[in-house]
Amino acid sequence: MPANCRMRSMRQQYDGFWFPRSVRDELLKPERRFEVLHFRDGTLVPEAGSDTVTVRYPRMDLDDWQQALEIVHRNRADAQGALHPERLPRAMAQLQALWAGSQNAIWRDVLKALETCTGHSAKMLDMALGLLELISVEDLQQATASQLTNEARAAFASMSGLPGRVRFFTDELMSNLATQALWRFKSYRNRSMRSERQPASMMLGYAAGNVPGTGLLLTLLGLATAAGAGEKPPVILIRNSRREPIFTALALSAIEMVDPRLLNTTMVTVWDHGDRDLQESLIAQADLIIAAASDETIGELGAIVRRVSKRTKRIRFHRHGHKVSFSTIGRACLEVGRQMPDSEIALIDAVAYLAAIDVALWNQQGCLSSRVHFVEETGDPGTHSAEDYGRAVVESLRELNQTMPKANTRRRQIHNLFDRYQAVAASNPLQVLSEYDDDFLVVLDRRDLTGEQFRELVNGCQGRTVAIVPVTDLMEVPHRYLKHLGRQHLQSMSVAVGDPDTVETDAELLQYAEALGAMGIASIRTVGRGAFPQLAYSWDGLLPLDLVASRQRGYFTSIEFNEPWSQISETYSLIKQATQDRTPEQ
Amino acid sequence: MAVATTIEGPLTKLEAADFWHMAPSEREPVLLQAIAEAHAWHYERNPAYRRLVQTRGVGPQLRGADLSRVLRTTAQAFKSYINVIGSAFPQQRPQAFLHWLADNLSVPLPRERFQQFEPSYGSLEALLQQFEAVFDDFGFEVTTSSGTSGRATIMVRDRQTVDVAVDCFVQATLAFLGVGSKHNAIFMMPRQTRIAMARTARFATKRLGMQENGQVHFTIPFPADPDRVRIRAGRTFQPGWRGAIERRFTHRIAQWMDEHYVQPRAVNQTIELLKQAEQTKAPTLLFGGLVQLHALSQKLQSEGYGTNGQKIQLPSDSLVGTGGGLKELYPYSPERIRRDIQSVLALESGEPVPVRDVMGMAEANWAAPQCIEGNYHLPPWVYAVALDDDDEILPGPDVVGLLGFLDPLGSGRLFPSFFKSTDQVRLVNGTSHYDPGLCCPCGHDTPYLVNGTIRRIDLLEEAGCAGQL
Repeated sequence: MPANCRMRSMRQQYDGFWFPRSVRDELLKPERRFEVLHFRDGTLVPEAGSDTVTVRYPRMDLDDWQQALEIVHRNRADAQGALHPERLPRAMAQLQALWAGSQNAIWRDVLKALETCTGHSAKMLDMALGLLELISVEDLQQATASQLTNEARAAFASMSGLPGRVRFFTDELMSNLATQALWRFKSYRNRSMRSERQPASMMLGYAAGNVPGTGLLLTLLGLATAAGAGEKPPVILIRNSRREPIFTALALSAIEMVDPRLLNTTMVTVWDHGDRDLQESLIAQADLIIAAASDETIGELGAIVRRVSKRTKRIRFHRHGHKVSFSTIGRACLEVGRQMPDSEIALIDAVAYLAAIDVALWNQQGCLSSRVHFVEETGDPGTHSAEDYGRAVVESLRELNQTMPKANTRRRQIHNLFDRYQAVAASNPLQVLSEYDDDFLVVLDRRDLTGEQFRELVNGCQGRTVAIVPVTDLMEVPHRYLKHLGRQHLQSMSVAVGDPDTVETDAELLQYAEALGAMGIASIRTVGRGAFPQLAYSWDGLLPLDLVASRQRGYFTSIEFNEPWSQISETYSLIKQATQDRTPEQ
Repeated sequence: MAVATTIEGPLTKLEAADFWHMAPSEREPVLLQAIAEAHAWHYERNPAYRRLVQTRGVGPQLRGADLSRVLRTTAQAFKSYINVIGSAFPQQRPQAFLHWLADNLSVPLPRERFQQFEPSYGSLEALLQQFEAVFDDFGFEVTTSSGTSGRATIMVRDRQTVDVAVDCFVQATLAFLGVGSKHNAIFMMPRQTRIAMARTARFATKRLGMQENGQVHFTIPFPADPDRVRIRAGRTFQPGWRGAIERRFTHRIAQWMDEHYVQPRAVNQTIELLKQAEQTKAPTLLFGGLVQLHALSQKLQSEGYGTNGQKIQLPSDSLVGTGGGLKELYPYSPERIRRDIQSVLALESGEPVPVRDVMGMAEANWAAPQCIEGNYHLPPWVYAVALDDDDEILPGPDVVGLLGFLDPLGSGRLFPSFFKSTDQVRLVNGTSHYDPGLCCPCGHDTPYLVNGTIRRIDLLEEAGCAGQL
C-alpha cells in the first residue's frame, strides 16, 4: 500500500500531493520538510484540533523540482509505447469499486475529510463523487481518436463513435466565407478539419479547489487524450489547490494500488503562485498548460506564458476561468398530464428535480452550476405556468436540502437576497417563491430586464439561488438575454427541450443549439447532468483533440447526447436511486 | 450629563437620560418593551417594513424569538430603491422614487403632492431639495451615505429623529470624548452636505452654542452633494450621454480639483486653525476622515513637523477624532495613519494627541466613540446584538458576529431603527447578556465593540470559477 495512503477511521492527516513511487523514493527522505494546512468547516485555521483535518505537502526547491522532473521524464522515456486504451478505464472502474457504496468505510473516511476541508456536506459529496460513472473515460479516449470533418463548420456534426454532436465556430472572417462558398461540395464537407498534431510531452495543469477533483479530471484528460491519440502519456504536473488538496491525491493513491505504472509520469502537489522563479521554470518546460482557475490567476499565468514562450517552442495555454451556466425548460415539460417516458411521474416534476440538481450540486460554487432557468411558457390551456414550474423547483430544492444539504450554511447570504427580491416584488412583476427559512432562494422574474439587470440577476444566483425567467420563444434566451453576458462568460446549458415523443435530437433543439453556440455556450447537456462535465466533449470550447493538436482559432460547442429524453429519464432514475441508496446519517 | 430626549409617537415617554442611571441588567426588559412598541407602531404604518417582517413570519406582536427577524440589512434597506425603481439615479425616475419613499415611511405622504415634481431632474440633489420643499411641513431632511460606490443610501429624517441623533452625538459621543462648549471644533468636512455624520456634527455643535461663538470650522470649501461625491469617486456614471460627459469631463475635473485645490485648501486651512489653537490655548477637537487627516499629517511632515520632535502643541483636552473608516483602497492602514497624526500633533504636556475613532453608519441615529481603552461604546439605549452566519442572535456576553442593533429611541416616527450592519465585530456585554466582570476597563458600562475587531464583510461572497460577471 503506498505510503501516502494510510487507511484508518477518523483520519485527520492527509497528503495534499501525490508522486509516483520513483519520485517518492528519491525525494521524500526522512529529512524532507513539509508545509501543513489545517481545515475546519471548509476554512483554513491556524492550528490543528480535534475537529480539523491536516494536509501536508513537501517543500521543494528548484533543485528538487529538477530532480523530480528528470525522474518522470525518464519514466516517460522508458515507457513501452502508448498507453493501452483499456488501462485507464479499468483503473477508474476499480477505483469506483474500491470506494463505491456509502457503507464503505474507506469512502466514508474520504467524505468526512472532504467535508472538513471544503465545507460541502458529506451527503452532497457522496452524491456528486459517487456518480463519477457519469464521466466516461472511454468516451474521452474515443473522442481524442475521432476525426472531425468540415461539416462541423456550419452545422452540428456527429462525433464518430460517440453520442452527440459538435459544431465549430470561428471568428476568422475569411474562413467563414470559405465555408459558405464550399459548403455545397460534399467532398469539402467530408474532408477532415485541418489540424496539426502536437502531442504534449509535458502538460502543466492548475486545478481550482472550489469543486473537489479538478486535479483528477486534469490528470485523466492528460492520460486519456494520449491514449486516444496513440501517444505515450505526457509528463503531467498538476498544481493542486490549497482550498481542496486531498481528493486528487487520494484518488491517485487508489489508482496506484490498481495499476502502479499507470501514473508513472504524473505528479500532483501544491506550490506557491507567487514563486515566480518556479512558475517560470515549470511553464517554460511545458508545452501545454491547462488552467482551471480564477480569471486573475489565468491572467498572471498568461503573462508568464507570453514571457517564456519562444518561436521555436510555442506553449499552448488552455484557459478555463470564470463562467456561468443555465438551464432551459421547453414547453413540452409544462404540458399538464405529460409524464416522463415509462413512468407515472409528471414530467414537470421530474424536470424540475433534475434542474434543481443542476443548481444545488456544489452550491453554485462551480461554473457548471445553473443560475437561471429559462422556461418556455405558452400560456395555452392545458399547460402549467412558469409559477407551477418554479414551485416544483422549490419542492425539489427542499427535498435536496435533506438528501444533499449545504452543510456549511451561511443563511445570511440567502436572507439578504430574499429581502432584496421581496423589496423588488412589491412593485414589479417578480415573485419570491421560496420562504425566508428555506436555505435556498427561488425567484420568478417577469420583469422586462435590461442587460444590467440581467447581469445582476445572474450574479446574485449563488448558494442555491435560482431565477426562473419565462420566455415565449426559445430564441429569446440567446438573443435577448445571453447576449448581455459576453461569450467569455458562458459555460453550459442544460436542457429539457424538444418533443419528448421524438427519440433523437429534433430540429427545434438543433436550431436552439445553433443559436446558443453562436452566442458562446460551449456545452449542451440534458437537465440533471449540468454538473457532470463529459470530458469527451467541449470544455469552454476546447475538445480533447485540442490537447494533442493545434487548429484554427475558434471554439467548439457540443451536444452531449443523441436521445435527450431517454437520457433525462435515465438520469432521473440514477439520481433517485443514488439518493435512496445513501443512509440518512453518514 | 443627560438631556431628556422624549419621543412622542410610537413610544410612551422613553427618555435617554434614564438609561445612564439604569443598571445594565435593568436595561433589557425596558428596551424589549420599547422595541415591541416601536415594532407594533411601525408594523401598522410602514408598508415596506410590514411586508418584510411578514415574509419572515413576524406579526404585529413581537415575540422574543422574533428579535433577529425584524433586523434589516443596512446596506440594503435604504438602497433598495435601485432594484425597485430599476435605476441608481432616482433623479431620472422621480415618481417611482417617491412611491418607493412613501412605501418606506411610517407617515403617509399626500400622494397628490407628487404632481409637483418634474418628470426628471438634472441631479439627485435637485430632486432631494424639491422633496424637502414640497414636504416642508413634515420637516423632512434627506441624508445620504458617503456614496463613494456611486450607489447612495438615501434616508429621510425629520426634526424629531435629527434631534435624537444630535442628542446622542452631544451626550454619548462628544461628552464621551470630553468635548464640550469650551472646545474649538475643526471639522475636515464640508459644511453643506447630506452625509449624516457631518450634518449631525454641525447640528450638535450648534446645540452647544459653539457655532455662534465662532468656535466651529468646516474646512472643506465646497458642498458635498451626493452627485459630486459620486462623480468624483468615478465608479458609477449615469447612462447615456450624461454618463459619457460625467466620465470624460466632470469626473476628471472633479478629481483634479479635489487633488489640486479642495484637499490642499482644506489641509492648509486646518493647519492654520491648529496653529491658532496652539497660540490661543483653546482646547480643540479636530475631526475628519482618515484619508483627510492623513493628508494633513503628510503636509505637516513636509513642513518639517514630526522630525526633531517638532509638533504642533495643542492645549490639554484637545484630541483628534476620526470617523467614516476607509471607504476606498488606501495604501496606509488606520494604525499607520494614527501614528502619523501623532507624529505631528501633540498636547502641550508633550503627550501625543489622543486619536479616537467614532464608529457610525448612515442608518443609525447613534455613533459609538472610542474610549481611552480603544473600545467602541454604543449608547446604553441601543439594544446591541451580534449575529451568526444564519442571522441568529449569538448568546453570551462576549461574542463575535455581525453587529445588529435595535434603537427604539432613535426610531422616531418614520421607520424602525432595527438593523443588521455589514460589520463583523467582537461585541461585549451586548444588551441580552451582561457580565459585570467584562465591563470595559474605561469604566463606561455600556455594550462595546472591542478595539481592532471591526471588519467590513461582503454581502455576497464570490466563490470558485462561478465568479461575478
